[in-house]
Amino acid sequence: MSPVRFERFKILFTLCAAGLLSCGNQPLFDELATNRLKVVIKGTYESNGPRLWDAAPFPGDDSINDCTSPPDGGAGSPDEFMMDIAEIRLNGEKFANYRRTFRAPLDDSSAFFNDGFVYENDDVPDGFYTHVNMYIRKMIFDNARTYHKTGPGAWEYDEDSETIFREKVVKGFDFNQLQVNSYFDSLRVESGRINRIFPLVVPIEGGLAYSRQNGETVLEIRLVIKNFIKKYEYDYYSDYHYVVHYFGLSDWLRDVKADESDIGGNVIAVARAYVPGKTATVRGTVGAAINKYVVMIPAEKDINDYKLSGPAPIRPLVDPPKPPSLAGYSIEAYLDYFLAYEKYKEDYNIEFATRLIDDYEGNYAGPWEAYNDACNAFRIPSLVTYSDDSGNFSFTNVPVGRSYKAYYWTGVPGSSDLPGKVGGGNFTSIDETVEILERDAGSTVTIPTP
Amino acid sequence: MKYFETAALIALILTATADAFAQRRATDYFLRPQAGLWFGPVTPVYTTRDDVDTRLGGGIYFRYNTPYHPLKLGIDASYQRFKSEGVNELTLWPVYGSMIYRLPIKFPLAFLVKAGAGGANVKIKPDNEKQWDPMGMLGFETSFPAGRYINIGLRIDYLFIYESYLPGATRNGHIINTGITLYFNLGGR
Repeated sequence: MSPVRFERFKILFTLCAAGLLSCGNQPLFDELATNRLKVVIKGTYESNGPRLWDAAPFPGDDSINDCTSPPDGGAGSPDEFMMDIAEIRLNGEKFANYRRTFRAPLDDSSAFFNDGFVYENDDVPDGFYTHVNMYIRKMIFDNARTYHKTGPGAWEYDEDSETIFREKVVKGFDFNQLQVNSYFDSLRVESGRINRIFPLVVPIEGGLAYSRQNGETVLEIRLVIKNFIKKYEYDYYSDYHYVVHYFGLSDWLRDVKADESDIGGNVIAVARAYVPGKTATVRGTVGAAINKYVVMIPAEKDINDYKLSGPAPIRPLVDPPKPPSLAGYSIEAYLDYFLAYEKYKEDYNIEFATRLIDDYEGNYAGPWEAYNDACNAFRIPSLVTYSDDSGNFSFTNVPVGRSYKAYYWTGVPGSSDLPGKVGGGNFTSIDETVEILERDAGSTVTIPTP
Repeated sequence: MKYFETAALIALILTATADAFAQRRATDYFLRPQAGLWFGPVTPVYTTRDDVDTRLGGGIYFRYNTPYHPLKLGIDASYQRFKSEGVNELTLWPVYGSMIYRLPIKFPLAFLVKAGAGGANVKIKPDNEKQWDPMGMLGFETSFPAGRYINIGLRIDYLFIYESYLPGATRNGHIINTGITLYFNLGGR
């Protein structure tokens, strides 16, 4: 080979050698395939040891005011909950853009109401995350029934309601479509864009400090569904006055009134993060707390942050009158409609003259803003459990290296109720200096009996 | 999969029309330095297939003769970005040197086999990490001259991105590049 040509090949060899010498030392293809963040979605208020299902039937809401005694005796309780999630993001960042659907039977052994189900994701970059955005497409309970009105107070059963879930027709009612807030949302200029569940913003208590160095990290998202169900009435008009009796999430936080179809803002959720191997179990016994909710909050928080400021955020008494609907095309239906319409005009004029014209802000917008803010501020604790018949309780997967305060709720937990309303009980302190040290990881810490 | 169908169709057309160009092969253009470009489907295979999906990629290359005539030396660089159903993303910048051997087959089409080694710049998302990894290549190529300066061909390369020698690593990168290529005979008589 001539020297000139050899010179040319030397350039090539140098390039190859340079490439090899500057090679990195991280297994990137393994990294690409590895999933360290485990997202778990649960349907319980409790983080572990949930309260058993209340005996059926679930309570009915006062929105059931038209078809009060259905001819067939009324819908029993639902047997199944169905959910369709488009994707989940962390602080708006995409990391789990996989659509997933699941069905959960409403029984105590159902995975969704115990350990939760795992949502596929591709991990997030290292960082600190404060909230989860859940894009919920559908939430369905089965056993919804449709009736239509045949005369004054007379109703006829039509069918069990059907909806589409996972591209198939199923028995049930998708109450996700009603997840806006009555009045507050629906009368706003931007009402067409308001949607409380796409995404549903779930705060992560304490945040998620995600680092690949930690190995597996669990992000637990809890939606309060178990023992938080109510029956509602949904009205619609198409030749006849129809109602659907369906099951949805309790209006404990934002009251739903008669003839209202919107049930938004009542999906109550919280998320927390922990690193398996850096957690402890916390046990205790409180004689006074038999069959009660027991909660633990970070030491730096105030327990009053987990309560509503009043008996409830009371809905402002400023519901403008609603226009009537035409039910059918008979002469009676038209006469009823025109009569109701005259009544509506009269009511609206009174409402306008007495409240809206003088001080719209003070009499209408202000109270609704305050109500909405109070509801939005409500948080549920990230560590909750339920004590047994002897007052024993235990929290699992409690992150170590932090201090906590433990309380129990004195009220008797009712069906479709949560702790936090003044009048329903109070948070009584068990121990406000629960210190879980780093070295407690993997062990059990016992809170001294007060 | 549609990329493969397109590539197969082009291959069929080339094979069927090869005779039409055969008469022009008066000089052996293989003996000239050549520079070219390619594009086509880049497909992750084996374990890499679990994480990312097929996309289009492309690259450039340069080839120079050796005193032993059926053999050429080449250098290749390409850009290949793979996406997935989720947020996983893999970006490769393979740069490698190769030896190209023309199979001694008397036919209007030239059949070449290639082997090479070099480095690949690997970048992954969502982890936002990148580094250079050593890599190897095995490939096959067929082409025909379309005039004095231009050649048209098809190439299939297997790229092996070597990482399992690293502590804690269990996987390597496996990619198949298929593409149509256009290259030019430089210099010449």
